[in-house]
Amino acid sequence: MSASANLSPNRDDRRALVVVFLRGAADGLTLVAPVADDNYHKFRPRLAVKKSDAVPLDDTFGLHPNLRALQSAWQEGDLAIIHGAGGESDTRSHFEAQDLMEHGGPTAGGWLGRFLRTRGPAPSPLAAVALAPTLPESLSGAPSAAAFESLREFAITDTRKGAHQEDFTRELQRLYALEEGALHDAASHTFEALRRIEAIDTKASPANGAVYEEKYPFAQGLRQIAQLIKADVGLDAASIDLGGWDSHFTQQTLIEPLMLQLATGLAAFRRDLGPRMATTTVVVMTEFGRRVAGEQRLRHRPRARRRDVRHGRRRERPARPRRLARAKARNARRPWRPAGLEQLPRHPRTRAHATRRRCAKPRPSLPEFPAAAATALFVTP
Amino acid sequence: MNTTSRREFLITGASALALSGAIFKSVQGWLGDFQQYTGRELHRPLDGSLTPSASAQIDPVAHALNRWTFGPGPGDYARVAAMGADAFLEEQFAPEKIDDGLCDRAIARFSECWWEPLGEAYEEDAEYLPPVLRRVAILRPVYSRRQLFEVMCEFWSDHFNIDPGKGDCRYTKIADDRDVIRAHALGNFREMVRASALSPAMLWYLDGRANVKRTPSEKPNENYARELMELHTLGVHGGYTQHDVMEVARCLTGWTILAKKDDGFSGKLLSPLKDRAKVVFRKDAHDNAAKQVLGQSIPAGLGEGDLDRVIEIVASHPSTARFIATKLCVRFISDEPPPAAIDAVALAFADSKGDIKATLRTLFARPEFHSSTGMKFKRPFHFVVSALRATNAETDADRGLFSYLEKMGQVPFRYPTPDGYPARAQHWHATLLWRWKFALALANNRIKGTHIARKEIIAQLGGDHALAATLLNRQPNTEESDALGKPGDNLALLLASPTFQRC
Repeated sequence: MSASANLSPNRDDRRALVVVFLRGAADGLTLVAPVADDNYHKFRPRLAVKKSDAVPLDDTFGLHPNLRALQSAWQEGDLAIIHGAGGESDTRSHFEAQDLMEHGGPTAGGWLGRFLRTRGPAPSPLAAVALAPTLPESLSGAPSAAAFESLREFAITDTRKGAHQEDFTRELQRLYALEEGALHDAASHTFEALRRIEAIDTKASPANGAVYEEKYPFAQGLRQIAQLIKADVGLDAASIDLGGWDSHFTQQTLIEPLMLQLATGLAAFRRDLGPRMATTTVVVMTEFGRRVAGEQRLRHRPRARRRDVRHGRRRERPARPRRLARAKARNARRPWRPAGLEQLPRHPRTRAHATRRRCAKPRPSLPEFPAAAATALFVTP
Repeated sequence: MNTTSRREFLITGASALALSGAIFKSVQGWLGDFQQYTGRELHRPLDGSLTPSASAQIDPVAHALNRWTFGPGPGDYARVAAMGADAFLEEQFAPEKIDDGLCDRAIARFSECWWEPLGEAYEEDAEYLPPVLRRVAILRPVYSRRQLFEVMCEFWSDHFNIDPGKGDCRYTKIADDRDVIRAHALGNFREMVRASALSPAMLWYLDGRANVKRTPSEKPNENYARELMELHTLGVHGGYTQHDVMEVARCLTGWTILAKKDDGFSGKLLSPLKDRAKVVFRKDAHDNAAKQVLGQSIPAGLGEGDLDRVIEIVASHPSTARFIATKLCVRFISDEPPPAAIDAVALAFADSKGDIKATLRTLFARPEFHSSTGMKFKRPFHFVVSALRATNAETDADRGLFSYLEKMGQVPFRYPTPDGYPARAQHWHATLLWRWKFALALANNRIKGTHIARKEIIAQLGGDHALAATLLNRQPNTEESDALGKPGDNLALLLASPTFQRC
């Protein structure tokens, strides 16, 4: 059997799953608005999507006009929307909620990683990929999962010169050709996958007249994923992020361009893959949404103090008892400081602690929508 | 007018000297910290004979180095050949007597590993401790001279696998690694199982903390009881039934850990920080009636004594000896070990009442072990560590190195389910691409935080041929010599070669 026959191509039984995570809590009620619901307009006098603007889906819901590019997928029955689904945790911490979503509950390992493990040994070195600087939590625990930012990273190159190590590859191929059994097969699969990646013409225009916006990194990422799927390198799952949905005061300004990116990117991806969409599923998810009556409390958490290194997402630090104790001791040594200040040691890291306290005022009671309203869009065959 | 007396002058001079001395000291100390931080100056001095194997095949000394260590570094072959493989094994069986200064220096800055009481760990960020643990888990096998001990620590970490990603394990796994895995890696299996059962991280990971019976109608949580028999002791076909699982779970009810606030399991024990994650036995949540485990009856009223009875029963079960023997033989002989070897090792395990050293001694004396040269496919972690050792690399074991382990799917302590990273080759064959890319990156110093003195090593070893013999642990064969004669990156090619993937 030739190596190419072994490298399960995407086109037969192999299905590819593409997971898009909208980091920062995309407001589900703006993306897919219940435009026919009076309460919606009552509680969101400024933010609500007008019925006349919305792209109608059914009697109740309509897409935000910036998501118009998804309309054809809906009309052709390729798009499913799951509204108001999410976790029960009401901490409203983006970090915690993303973790819960990506782990699939308070458990170890990412949901995608666990899923891929149950499928046994990965047949391809590119079974799971993430378009990110580091692996997302959802792929944690996966057998062979690669974070990448450009398809070129898969080639055997000396990273400094970017030059192909042809001598290296040729000699390696010769050495592995002398092997027998499973190692020989594994090596020929890998060489075949490499050959297919190198054959990808990254400059070639997408199929079926699809247009991935040049200026949007998200669209360019989807384009690379589409190239991998079409190149039959044995891709099982791909993960890509679209961040920046954490809007508080200036929701329209912030998320309207993001919605446009999301919709045009997904539409181009669907058009580009064409018949391949039959074996490709795209899941779009976010950690939670804005509360129904979200206008009255535009900031749901005090500002996070520093950016997490991973994914640039925001997170909070817990209060530090030891630091507090040290600060108290320091203050005790300096009795001339006004009383009461020991509550707020003057250290930049404890400032948000104080902010949180100020925010903890009782709030007017409002009708509750499921606290963590996540939105998932499924593009299904 | 000279008012400065000779005495004052001396004092001033002396204090100036002392001051400059202090500054020099602090700069020196700071430099030392910096070197530790960057991972520089952390490589083994290449003194003594560096002569590699002259044999065309993997000889007994090379085989011993391949299996009992994470791969030989320059000079290891000559040292072990001089002392003999048996003496080397005896040396490795007494890790406490081996001076391990380099490794101690490499991990000195990770004081978190020795934190006590454990509750203090909760002061840290949720995401702070797991990377520390992972870095230490890489640094130790790379730098330690207690190699067999490190090999066994890796083995038991998979056997009693805990992913720190779940709940409080991110704070408590450090203590599990220290007090369960490393404390018993070459000790007694039964004691290790007991320590593991009472490890705060294990009580979290497999929900032992939630295994309480406060009311007659409450059902115990069977999660840990099942994995204790299926994965830690008897093995899935070890001859236990669902009834046994429930009975073991009943025996273990009441063992829980102190939490920050009442989560329903820790009762009224609202603890201060230092007592957090402390393991306690709650009498009121223990099922004190009689039980029947694997055909043996446990009388009512034993209280916390139930635990010792259960550990005794499961650890001394014949299936346990067989299960552990099989796993050890898969690790040290081959993916499909000969039944005769398993039988002998299981017998040694049972006879020694779970003494790990005695069991390994029997295993390493088996003819099947000696004839299994080059039959094991290195798992990615083993491959990466052996490449770092072979090239005498300096590494900080940080993100640069992590990302390669991530691509190969074997970052230490990131296996989500309790069965641990798979041992057999078939699971790891798809990682070849990343091994090759790692070989290229390492050979060309393209891994951030990791550095090899390539030219110096080749010069000290005495050329490419000696380098090949050091890396392959034998003389290169015709094809390999031929490939090395061609233009191209010889070091990378050797690290990526099929032979270097095996041990």
